Amino acid sequence: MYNDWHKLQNRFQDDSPSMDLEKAWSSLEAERQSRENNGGANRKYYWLLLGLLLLIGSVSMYFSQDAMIQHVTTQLELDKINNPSGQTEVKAVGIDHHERKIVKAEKGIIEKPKQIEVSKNDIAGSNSNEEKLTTTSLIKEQKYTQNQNINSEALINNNTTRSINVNASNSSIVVTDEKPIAVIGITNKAVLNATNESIQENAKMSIRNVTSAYHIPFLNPSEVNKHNSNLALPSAKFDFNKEPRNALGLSFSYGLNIRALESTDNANDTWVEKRNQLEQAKDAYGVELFYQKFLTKRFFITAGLNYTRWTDQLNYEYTEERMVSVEDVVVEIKYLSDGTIEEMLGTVDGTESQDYIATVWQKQNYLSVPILFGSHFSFDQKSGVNLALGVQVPIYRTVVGRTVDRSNTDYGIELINPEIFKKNGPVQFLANVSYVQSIGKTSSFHFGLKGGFDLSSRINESEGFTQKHYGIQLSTGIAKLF
Amino acid sequence: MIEQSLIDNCKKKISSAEKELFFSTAPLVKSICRRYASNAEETQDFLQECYIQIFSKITSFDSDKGAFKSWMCKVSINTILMLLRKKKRSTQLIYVDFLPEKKEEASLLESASLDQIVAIIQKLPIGYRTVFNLAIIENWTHEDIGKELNIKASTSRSQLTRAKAMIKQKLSQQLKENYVQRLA
Repeated sequence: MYNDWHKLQNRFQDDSPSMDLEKAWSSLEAERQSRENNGGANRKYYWLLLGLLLLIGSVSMYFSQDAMIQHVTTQLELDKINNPSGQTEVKAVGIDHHERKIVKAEKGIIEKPKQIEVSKNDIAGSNSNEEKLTTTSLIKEQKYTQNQNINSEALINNNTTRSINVNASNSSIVVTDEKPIAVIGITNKAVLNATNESIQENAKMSIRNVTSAYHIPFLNPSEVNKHNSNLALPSAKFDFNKEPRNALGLSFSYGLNIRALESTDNANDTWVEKRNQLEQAKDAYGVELFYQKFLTKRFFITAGLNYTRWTDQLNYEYTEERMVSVEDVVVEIKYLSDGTIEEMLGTVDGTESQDYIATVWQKQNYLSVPILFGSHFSFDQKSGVNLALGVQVPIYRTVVGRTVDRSNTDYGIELINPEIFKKNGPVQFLANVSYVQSIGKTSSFHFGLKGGFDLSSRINESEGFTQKHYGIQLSTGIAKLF
Repeated sequence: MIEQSLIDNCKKKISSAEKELFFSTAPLVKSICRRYASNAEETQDFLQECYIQIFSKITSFDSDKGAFKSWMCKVSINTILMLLRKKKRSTQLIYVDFLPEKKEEASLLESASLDQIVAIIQKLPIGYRTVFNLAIIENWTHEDIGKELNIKASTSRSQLTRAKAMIKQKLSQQLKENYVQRLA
């Protein structure tokens, strides 16, 4: 019966089933075209994603810069309700801009136009003089508009006794006096208590000089102490606790490249074993342009464009032996009886060997889009640590170099075939930890560790082996803060 | 014999050369595909995938290392095995009752046409079919089959025995039916 099966094998060697070649070719062409289109669609998708990220970044930056003006407008949104006494009751909305998170005032009363004197004695003494403490405003002829210059410098005014004039118009506050100050207070009793406590503490709570850009502070009294520190003027350094921390930066990384090469096809076992024996993952370095957007005070999202080069090294030594023939050499010497010597010439076959020692490289260049979600932990106003996790999606790759010859693993190298690498993969998992230090008010420096690993093989499945890379790199860079 | 110039043109992605290569080799590749497939439709799918792989990998073919047809067959079998691995994830291996091997007439296989045999092979459970093809047609050892299919060599042996028994039983049944039909 064995012979029967053997014969069957031979019959199959000569098997040539009939088929409609034209139809099969058309079908194949259609399939190839379809895949090419899909590949193109994928590439379009990646570029679209990148464009979208850049667009989001640009829009965020635009609104970050415009936020001051926006908040001035917000502060002036007063909800006026005329009450029977002729007073204008106002309700102030959130004052805070860019997470200055000062206040949400409940409501207050602006008497118009009426001069009110607020003195330390008034505040500290009792809460009987309620009327005097009902108003909060600025003193100076200054009209807030959307075009207000927002960069005027603020000074703390320790004077706790000021005269205050308030003019409330329809949608803006007009103040008249020499110096712009703001007095905090909303409802009579609450203001009294709040300012009283503050004055007792440091005598500068109730009246504060502010830059016009920062506050028209209708403070919720219950928030006064809580947000006292938040009312502090901006320091010379960037404040990670307060400022919006969107960043556009550049980062460099260099470090370990670890490779896992495994055979999934027994035909490749010897080759893969030889590669693992001769080749070693060398290093990886990268450069990344990133945009970081803080979603809250603590959490941020980072996206960008990353270029990484992964280098593997092949230490290649072998001795090549060649058969050589040397012609016309003396192969036999005859000593004849007459004393003469006869030399017989002939051809001698032998081997000639040559040693080769070489180091060759495989270089994989990946252009990827990293997307990370992270958290910031502040040490102080100037420094902190960022922890982030995410993925990195390759959008383009090139592979160059040489590897062990797949058909002859005894010796020999061959050019690596880039086609065996997946065009759209693999997605990498990323984990970053970095120390961040502000430099001045608008820049930061960071350094840390960056780890990542391939979530799948870099090689097409049909190749019969898998190749994954793991990396830990030191990274450092700078960023512009917004 | 495939001309080197044709292969070189295929490496340059010249469509007319690819078409010529396809026309001259498709029956050979199809003969491989249909042995591993369960029906004509799957044969067509395998054929397409094989040629997609052949055309994409043809740049790595080196004529100094062997004949093109051998290389093409190797690529095709690897491609089919890869497709079967994918398919196997969603397909449960079907175990059938052991079919005792009967002493059949030596002429049983010879008397059947290749198309008949292929039709029977296609009806085998996927695991049996793959083992049968690799062991009988491709001449792989059971150890190699075991590694490729992630099964034990002993499992490969028993599956081959069962595959052979099933083929013979089906052939016998088919021949009997044909005989009865002819008598009628």
